[in-house]
Amino acid sequence: MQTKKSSKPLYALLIEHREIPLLAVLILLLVGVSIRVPGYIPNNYVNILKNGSINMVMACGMLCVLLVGSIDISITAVLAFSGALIGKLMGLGVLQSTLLAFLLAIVVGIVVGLVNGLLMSYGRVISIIVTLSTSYIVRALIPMSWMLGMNKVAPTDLAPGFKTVLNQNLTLGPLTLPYLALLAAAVVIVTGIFLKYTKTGRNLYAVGSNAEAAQMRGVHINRVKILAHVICGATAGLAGAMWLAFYNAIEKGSAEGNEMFTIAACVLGGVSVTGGYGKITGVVIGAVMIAVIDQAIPLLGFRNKMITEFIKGILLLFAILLNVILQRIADKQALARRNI
Amino acid sequence: MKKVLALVLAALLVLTVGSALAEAKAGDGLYIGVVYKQSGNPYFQASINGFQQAADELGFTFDHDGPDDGSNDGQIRIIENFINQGVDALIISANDPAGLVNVCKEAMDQGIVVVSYDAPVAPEGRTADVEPASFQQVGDILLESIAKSIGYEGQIAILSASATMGNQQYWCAAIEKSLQENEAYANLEYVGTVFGDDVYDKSFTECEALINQYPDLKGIIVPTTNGAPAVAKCIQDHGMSTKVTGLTLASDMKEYLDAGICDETFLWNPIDLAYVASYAAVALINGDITGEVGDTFTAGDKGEITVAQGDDGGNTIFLGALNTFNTETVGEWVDIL
Repeated sequence: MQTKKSSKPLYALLIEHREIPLLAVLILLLVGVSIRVPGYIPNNYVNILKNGSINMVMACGMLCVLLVGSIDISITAVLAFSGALIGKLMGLGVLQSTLLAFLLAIVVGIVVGLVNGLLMSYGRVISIIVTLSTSYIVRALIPMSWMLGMNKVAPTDLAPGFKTVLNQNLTLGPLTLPYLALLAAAVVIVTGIFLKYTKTGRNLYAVGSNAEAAQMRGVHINRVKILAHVICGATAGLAGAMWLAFYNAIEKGSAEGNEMFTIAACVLGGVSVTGGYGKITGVVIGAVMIAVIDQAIPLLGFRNKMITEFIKGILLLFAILLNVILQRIADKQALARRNI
Repeated sequence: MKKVLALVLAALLVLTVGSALAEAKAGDGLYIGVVYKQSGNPYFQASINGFQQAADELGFTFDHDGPDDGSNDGQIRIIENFINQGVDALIISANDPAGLVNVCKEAMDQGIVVVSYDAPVAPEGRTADVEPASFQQVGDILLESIAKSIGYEGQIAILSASATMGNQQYWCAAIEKSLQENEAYANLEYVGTVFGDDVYDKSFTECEALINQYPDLKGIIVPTTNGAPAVAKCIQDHGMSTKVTGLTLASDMKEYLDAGICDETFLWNPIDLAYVASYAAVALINGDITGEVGDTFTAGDKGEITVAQGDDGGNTIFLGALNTFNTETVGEWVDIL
């Protein structure tokens, strides 16, 4: 066996760190937009950070379910449900503490995640169907008309402390960092440490890449899958509280369809939808990219919805194709090395 | 004479109350399908109360539905369902005035009365249309309000829902027309219209782009209930002094009216609109009126209403003026709208 270490060629580095080409695409995108819209980054980075934060938090959970080869499309339903629930409870005067509101939102997410996980692991139903069903059910149960008669949570319902908690900025010299983004960063760091440095976190990769092998090693596959769904649910619940704290309003249809942006952020970030591969750094870049595209499109001056969606689609496709091509090269190189 | 009249009226009242128990109501046995723009929109949720009130008074039954995504094809599917269920009338708030014409013609061919309300179906696809106020009148009220707020000087923009939504299109056109024609607005600079798709986060992002492009923007008109709170919140978050007005729900805007981001916002009463549309539909089914311009019917406690020439050249039933929400009046409406 040859164990001699040699300096890695560039392509190998790119293959190992798939987020590097993605970062290049992001920089290209930023440069491109900055040419069209002078001052785009200095004027907009706070908005990009803010508007990307909620998606970023959900993408952390999505990464976990994708790693075990599962998927969760009920996240935005959970977001709307948990946000509406705490909003209504505040409106009724039952709930006043901001911390409790956030915790309750997370608990709601955990419960839905647990149900999703149990159904898909022990129930052996494929996750996309399970979470599609729960997404409908959860959205239908959003505590609106049957709790207070009104059909949305308005700013006047919210506790004063809750309204302002995330709408503040931390000023670091010339930099303005919104609390919302700092919270998202904390979630990213915790998820990153969990996935890389804990045994349970590494089991997510093991189950996703080769479930049988993982089982042979004594990993409870179902438990790991359920855990992944619970984490995803928790992030979605947290996202609900963040949404409400940021926008001060939530309604039955809030964030509907946005789960696709969360999945897109992960896939853009090089996460494999069949499980086993994905890095938090890639997901961060993916989420930032989605936020940049969202924030840039109105500024580019295209007012036609068709055109903006077309551009969004093209940009996503471009980034994903790049990923696929790199994956092919990686596979080829791996085969070639074995032949030698 | 007055006394005699009063006596006669009192006697009539007793008679009608007495006979009402035995006598059939005008809408007995009728079944009406209500189709609104989007399910979950609180504006349409509120209008259900108006249908219910009219149903209680007239004796008809009704069901209501709207597409989740606010789409035209979603409405077509719902309308086809209602036709299959054998409704006597459809009361529709159209996402696209032209898009529903074919399916509505199909309904009319089967003898179903088609009344559009709030947002019209094009004239060839409806029996009658019920509107709160003419497009020009709504546009003028909004423009005058924002102009007053900013002292008749500076840049203004419109944040609308979508370029194909009937009433949005007409209000924006009315505002643009007045901006050009009315001397009072000579110092207003109109920078354009952007679209938030009636989605909160999209409207928020579009508003951020607007104030980014036009840092001196003085006022934004938001003629959509879902967009207005997003725009006001965006202005508040960015600490701008830009004024916002629009067509809004009271509950959404109380916060921003109190904070001074809006001086006043407007809406009609969706309950009244639904109520009058119901009376019009029943009168049309029973053949009391044909829906021609000049026809007069009694709309319950709203009194006599005459069918007029509408903004789109078709026949329209106009309700009257708008409801103004300001720091004084908004409190009365927060629980209703």
